[in-house]
Amino acid sequence: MIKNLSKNFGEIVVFDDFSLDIEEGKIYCIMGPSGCGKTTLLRIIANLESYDKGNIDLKGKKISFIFQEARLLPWKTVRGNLELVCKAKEIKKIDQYLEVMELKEYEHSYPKELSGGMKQRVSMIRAFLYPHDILLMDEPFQAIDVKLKEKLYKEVYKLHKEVNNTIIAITHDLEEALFLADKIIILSQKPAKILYQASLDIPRRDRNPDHEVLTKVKKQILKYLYHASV
Amino acid sequence: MKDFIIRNKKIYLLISIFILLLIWQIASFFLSPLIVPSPVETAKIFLNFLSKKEFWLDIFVSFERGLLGFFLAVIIGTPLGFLMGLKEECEAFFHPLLVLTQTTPTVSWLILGWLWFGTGDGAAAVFIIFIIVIPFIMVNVMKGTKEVDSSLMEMAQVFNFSLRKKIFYLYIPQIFPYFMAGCSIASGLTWKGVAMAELLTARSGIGAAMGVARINLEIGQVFVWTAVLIFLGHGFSRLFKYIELSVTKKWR
Repeated sequence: MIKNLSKNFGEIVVFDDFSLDIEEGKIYCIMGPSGCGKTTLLRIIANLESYDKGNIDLKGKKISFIFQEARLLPWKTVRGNLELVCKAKEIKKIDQYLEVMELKEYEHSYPKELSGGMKQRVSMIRAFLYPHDILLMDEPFQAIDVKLKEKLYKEVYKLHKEVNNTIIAITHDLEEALFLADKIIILSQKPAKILYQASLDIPRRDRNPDHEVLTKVKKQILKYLYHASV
Repeated sequence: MKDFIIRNKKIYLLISIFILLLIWQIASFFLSPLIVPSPVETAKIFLNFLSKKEFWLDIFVSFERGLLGFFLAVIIGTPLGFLMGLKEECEAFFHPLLVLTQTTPTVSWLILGWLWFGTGDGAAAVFIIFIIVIPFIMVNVMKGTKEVDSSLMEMAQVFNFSLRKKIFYLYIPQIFPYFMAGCSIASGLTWKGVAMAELLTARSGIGAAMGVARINLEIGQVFVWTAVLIFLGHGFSRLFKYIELSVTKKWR
């Protein structure tokens, strides 16, 4: 999907001849040192950022996005924000998703009345409601407390199965990546290269912390992450 | 504690008004009523005015002119300000118009308005108000448009908002407070402007009535009209602020 991408911010080379293949219907988790260009990569895919050289071929696929911040319209209620991205016939889904994300009782609240984590959940619902093929997520669980996090991984996975999308997620949280990903990609410092790729063919229900293969992968990833950040 | 501070502020306001009235009363005590009529005397004239049809008619005429000029400025100034905020080319193109309306002395516009539109029908007054108000609307709408949150614009781009959706759900709510601030300032100036224009170019309205009062040396009437103008200016200014706050309260 991404071929020979090059991107500079002035003197800073973020990508130099970077390529990445994305398989349809899979979940990708991208990890790497902060400032290595992960967010820029998502922004380029979403056409929010230009690039200097290379080729991004989405084959007409539609993009949805969960930003690092919720980016809700302050003057619209939760429901109002959601209704803006979906067609009339999908309105029913709003109730279903609000239920799943434990936000049903807040549907008529304004964003200012919600906590950071709640706002982020609204923005997740919005991203899933918007008809799309590829969902980009930029550290979506960052503001969400630990207890709810694990539940949400599972819900996101269920929704992913339901809408049958491709997910490209940036994360700093290894547990999150180990639960969600079909493939984990570790990027290097700028200019970003792929340091390591791990395919996880383990069913989600078997992914517990003491799973043998997972433990091995985890060690590998930690090693690469450590290398990338020094 | 907060309640106490708010009440305190109001007390200071009342003290200030009281002192001003006191100074006025003392001054009128030493000066001839032909120069400074006392507050009581002014109040008497005012009460007397209340029952007169001409008083209300003059206010109505001025009100109409002020409102019309204001309305025209809003109708034309808002889209111009929006374009200026959106495109730098538009800003450059309309900049001279802005400077012209902002810096040309009001007396010049008055004389021109008088020459162009003549006396009697108040068109000159409407014209002056238009000229006074339009730069405030343009500048504020332009500022508001420029300040539109780029992260929300990106969100709208990703979720493929139509132009209509962008205008109604992104631009208008974000420009609204700026627009209302512009209206608030401009409305404070509108009534001063109307009276001045009428004094020089019209035969009816508050300004014209003040002209008559001047000729007849009815200084008390001048004071009453002044109070009416202060009331209108301050009242409208507050009204716009109030509307702005009550609309945005829900989400701020």
